[in-house]
Parts: sequence; C-alpha cells; structure tokens
Amino acid sequence: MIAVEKAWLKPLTSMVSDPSGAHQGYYNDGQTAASHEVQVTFGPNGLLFGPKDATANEHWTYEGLQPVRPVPKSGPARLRYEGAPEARLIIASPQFAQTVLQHAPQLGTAAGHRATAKIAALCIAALVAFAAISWLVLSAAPATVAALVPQSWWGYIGQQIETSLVKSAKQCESPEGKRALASLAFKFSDDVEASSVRVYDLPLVNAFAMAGGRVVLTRKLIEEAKSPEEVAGVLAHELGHVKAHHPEEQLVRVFGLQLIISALWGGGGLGDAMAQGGALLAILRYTRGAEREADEIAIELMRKAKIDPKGLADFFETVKRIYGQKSAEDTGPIGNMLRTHPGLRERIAQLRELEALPTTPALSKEDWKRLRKICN
Amino acid sequence: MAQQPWGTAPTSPSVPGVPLPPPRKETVRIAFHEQDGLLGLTVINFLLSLVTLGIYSFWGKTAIRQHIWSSIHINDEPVEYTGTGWELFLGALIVGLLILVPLAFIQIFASFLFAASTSFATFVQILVSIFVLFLVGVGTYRARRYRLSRSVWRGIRGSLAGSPMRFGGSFLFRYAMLLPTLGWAYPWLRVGLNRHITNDMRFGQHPFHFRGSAAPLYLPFATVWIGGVVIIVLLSGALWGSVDLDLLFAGDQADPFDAQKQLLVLFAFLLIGLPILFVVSGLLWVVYKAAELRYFADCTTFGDLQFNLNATVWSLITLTLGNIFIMLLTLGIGRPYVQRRLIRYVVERLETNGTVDIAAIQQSQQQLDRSGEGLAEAFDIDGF
Repeated sequence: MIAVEKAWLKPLTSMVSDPSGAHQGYYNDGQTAASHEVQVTFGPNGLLFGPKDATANEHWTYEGLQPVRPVPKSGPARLRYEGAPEARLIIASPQFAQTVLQHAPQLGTAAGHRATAKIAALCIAALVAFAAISWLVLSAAPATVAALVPQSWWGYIGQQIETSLVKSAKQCESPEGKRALASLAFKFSDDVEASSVRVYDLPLVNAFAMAGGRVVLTRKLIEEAKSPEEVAGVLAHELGHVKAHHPEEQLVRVFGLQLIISALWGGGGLGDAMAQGGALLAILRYTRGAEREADEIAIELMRKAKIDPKGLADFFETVKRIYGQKSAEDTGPIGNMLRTHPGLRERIAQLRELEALPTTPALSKEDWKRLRKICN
Repeated sequence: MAQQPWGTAPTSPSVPGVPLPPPRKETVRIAFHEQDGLLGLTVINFLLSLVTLGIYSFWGKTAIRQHIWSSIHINDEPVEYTGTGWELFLGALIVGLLILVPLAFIQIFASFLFAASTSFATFVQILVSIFVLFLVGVGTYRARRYRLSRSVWRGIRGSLAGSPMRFGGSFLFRYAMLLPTLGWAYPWLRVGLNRHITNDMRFGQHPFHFRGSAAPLYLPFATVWIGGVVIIVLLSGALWGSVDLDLLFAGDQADPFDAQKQLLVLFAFLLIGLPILFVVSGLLWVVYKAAELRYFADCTTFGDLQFNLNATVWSLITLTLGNIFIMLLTLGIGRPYVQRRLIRYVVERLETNGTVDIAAIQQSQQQLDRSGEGLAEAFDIDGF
C-alpha cells in the first residue's frame, strides 16, 4: 500500500520513457541455468517483475541494484541485486536502461570511474601508511631485535660473514705483528673490546666491523698508512661500530626489509624493483648515519687513549690520494669503501677542527715496524 | 526464496506426483564479440599501478578480466567475471605472509649461517625448490578454482571439486619424472594433470569428463624430441668441423691471423646457428602443442556435449609470434591484448557437438574462496 501512496513521486519519468509500463527481459534465478522471460515495470521504490502474463512477484529496490557491467545508455542492462546475489535480470531496451539509470545512478559508467578513482586513492593511502610504519620500524626495531639475539649467534654469524668476505685470502699472523696489533687494540679496551682483530692479505685499503665484534683490516691498509696513528684511527672507527652494535642492527634491518618486500611484492616486476630501490636508499641513509656515529666514537676513544685523532684524518687523506679526488666529494661515485659513507671532505674537516691536546705515540717505532711486517 | 515462481528444476520436483517436464535440450554456440575500451583500461591500469607501486594491479587485472570475460558469448549471453581486486590483493598478501616470508627467511638465514658450508646451503636450496614445485601445483589448481568460481553464465558459476593438495602432490611427482626420463614423461604428465583438473571441473553441479590416455601424444612428442636432438647434433657437428678450437685457444703459439679467422667463423656460427636452433625447436614445439590442444578438446565432454578445437600449427605460430611481438613492443604493458588474443583464439576455434539440458543445470554448492590466486601470482604461473 505504501507503494501506491508514493507513486506520485516519479510520475514524469515513468510516463515519458515507459509509456507501456512494462519491459520484456530475461531472468536467471541463480538456482538453475534456465532463462525465464519476464516483464519488468518501474515501481516507486524499485523494479517489479514476474513471469509473462502473470502478476509481478519480485521486487528489487533501486538502492540494492548492482551492475554486472556498467549499464550503457543504449542498453542492455544486466543487473544483480544485493538481496539475491546470484540472480540476474537482463533487459535489452534502451528506454529501460535510461530510466533505470535515473533511478539507480550507481549502475552507470560514471559511478564505475568514481569507484576506480576511490580504489586508486586508497592504494596510495595504504602505500603512504605502509612507508610511514616501515620508517618507524626501521628506526626503532633493529636495536631491540639485535639485543634479543644471543651473543653466541652473532658470534657465529659474524664468523660466517668474515669467511665469505675474505674468501681465500690468507690471514696475516706473524707473531710479532699480531702482538703489536693487540697492544694497539688494548689501548681502547677500557671502552670497547673486539672479539677479534685480524689482518688479511687483501689488496684494497679497507677495514670492516662485523657482527659479534669482529674487526678485519687489510694488508694494503697497513702498508699505505704513514703512521701508527692512521691505523689506530681506523681501528678506533671500526671499534666505534662494534661499540654501537651497527653491524648487528644493519643485519636485522636488511633482513627485515627483505622479508617485508618479499611479502608484499614477492611476485616481482616493477613494484618489486621500485620497493627494492626504496629499501636500498633507506639503508644507505642509515649507513651514513652509522659512519658519522662511528667517527664520533672513534674521536672519543682516541682522546681517552691519548692518541692524536688527526691520525684518522691523515688516513682519510691517504684514501683520497689512492682512490682519487672523487672520494672526497659528497656526491658522485665513490670508492669501494666509501660508497655507503659520508663525503671524505666533510669527515676530514670535522677532524681537523678538533682542539689539539697532549698525545702520546700510538705505537713505539719498533712495534710500528713489526705491525707493518705482519703479512711477512 | 519461499516459493519457486520460475518453475523448479526437473531433477527436484516440488510437488510429489506431478510428472517432470520433458528435458529441453539445447545446442551450445560459443562466440567472441570484441569490445572497445581495452586500450583505455590498459593505459589506466599501467599508470595507476605505477603510482601505487603495483598495489592497484590487482584491481586492474580484475577490470581486464571483466572486459575479456564479457566478450565471450555462449548462446548469445555473455560470460561474467565476478571476482574482485580485493580478493586478489588478499590472496597475494596471505601468500606473501604465510609462504614467501618464511621461504625468504629460510634462504636469507641459510645464506648468512652457512656461507662457508656450501653443501648444506645447497641441500636447503634443493629442499626449498621441491617445496616450491609442490606449491606451484597447488597454486595452479587454486587459481583455476578461483577463476571458475568467478566465471558466471546465466547466474550459474563454475567450480573445481577436488583438493589442491592432492593436485600439488600429483604435480610434484609427475614433474619430478621429467629429469630421469630425459623429458619423455612430458605427455604423460600433461595428460595426467589435465585429466585431474578436467574431471574435477563443474559448471553448476554438472561435471566435465576427460577420457583419454597419453599414448596418442607420443608420436608428435617423439617428433619433437628426436628432431630437437638431431638439430643439436647437426649444429654441434658443423661447429666442430668449421672451427678449429685448438687453434682458437692456443694463445701465443698460434698464428694471430689464423686465430682471428677462427674467431670470425665462431661468431658467424653463433649468429646463424643459434637462431636456426631457436626457430626449428620452436616450430617443433608448436607442432606438439597443436596436437596436444586438439587432443585435450577431443577427450573432454560435458554431458552429451563434445568439443573440437581447430588448433592448427600455422594459427598457433601466428598467435605466438603476434603475442611475443606485442609484449616486446610494449615492454609488457600490452599484456591484456595478449590475454584477449589467447582467449579469442580458443573461443573462436572451439566447436561443440551435441546438446545439453541447460535449464536443468543447478547452481554450484561449493563454498567460495574468500581470496584468490595468491600462489599462482607469487610464482608467476600464468599471464592472467
């Protein structure tokens, strides 16, 4: 009865586009694949339809109508209904399509475009939220997780990394050289103790700190250093990494990022490549921060041990001389060691500004000679 | 629904004692009506996927499927794709968290922990590969099941009635046989897996059947296999005869002019020989694939309905070359066109014989998966 009372609401549209009051169509009830011929009329609140030459026995409200495909103005209209998701109503006539689009605009192509735009906006919002959460996790979590892993595991992992890093290179271990190196490391042992400090016969000027407090120096580094203070500076820098647990945190960070990316973009392709790029940039940011922190700790360690911190600056000059001027710039391709590091010029300037305090030699002349012969 | 105003299905009489109506058997016509709008969809999908780092691609994929599916007309009524982007996204996310993360964890962890012990790392790698092969089988089945359950015609959806795990086991076992049999297990594995899937396939509650053995495929397969071996032997024989490798690798002792000449011959050989190898083995492969496609259609029935797929060697070659050309030219962005060509190929060349009482086919009772295709997506099983 309510339907009759509200019938005056849309008399005009019904009159114009629907003079006969009934449209012929097909109905699938969603239970069998039979196609039933139906007559459809526009009611005040929804479509009324039923078998041909019989009373309408189905009522689909306009709000509940959904398009199988967006309904073109020229028809046909293929409709679903939220109350009977498996049933289908198909009416071919253009007049029906135009009228039903007036009653239920959600069926049209414009609504389809709006839905696409909404989904795209949601995707971007999700991406931004995800990036923000990742950023937070990257900043806070690695230190916590790294502290949770037992020290013995880190020791083992560090050992594996050292093995894969030095590959077949021989360890330099002349007894006198080792003793000299140990006496140098001992000067910092009040603050930080490495689990091992080793020299390997590698032809590059570099030094590494690894998980579990392992430090590796190369033969060429020792050869190229002009004074024991330079080696002491490098050692203090690596011990700075050890003290701040940078290697452990970095492993957790890289590992975690890989997990997140493989979860979200495991399918590969463009998204995966872009996410990997983003992750690399994030990690590089952290490594540059870690290098600055290690420099600061190195200065502190050398001050306490009464070794001239300018040794580290001298060492950077040595690197600059060997790997060229480019390594000093803040941007551009940088030498092997420094790709992940801040510009050398900045680091040298920072060290040169330090106030001069009384110092003692890092090693005696004899010990320095012995250290330089550690690979013989 | 309280009552059945539309007439009940003949198999379930609502009023006892009333005779069933006679079956109304219909023939089945399947046709492809190309629609406009694929270019716009392709471009928009690509751009939106780009700015969302690929997240939108699930919705884009769904839009493409809706477009292509609705071009397939069976007895003048289009097929409908009812899947959603959200389901695909959820499927990918679940697989990412439950499978890809643990797999990545194992592999990264193994490479950290056992960097020195390569034999153990290799062992882990082999175990992971076997597991992945099993998952590819499971993923193939689940993806097929998802797509069938989202393919609707006259309101009735398809389904796969069996267990993905069982299919995964069969998949793993059959593919594992490839290596020890030097490839000869291939027709057997293809027929076995196709039989498994086809016999599990339903439209509504009406099953498909597959009747056939691998035997008829062995003649075309033998042609491919032996032809492949012959061409490799011929080419390596020609290489052996024309290039004096001793001279090439003799270093300082060789006459530099002679060595250069030999190097030139080697290059010419690679430039001509390798393309010949690709073209001939590709051609042989198409001969087999055409035979396989025809045979699979011949073996399949749906009630009294029989199928016939007119897959000729030449048509498959033009289809494949066209698709490769599209993918290369558009750097993969044109994939929807490749998908449409593939579907169109099958639809236009598929003939049916016999009749089916379509009106009697009842709706599938299988529960719908809530998410779709994560595994197939993760392992890049097919292009859809």
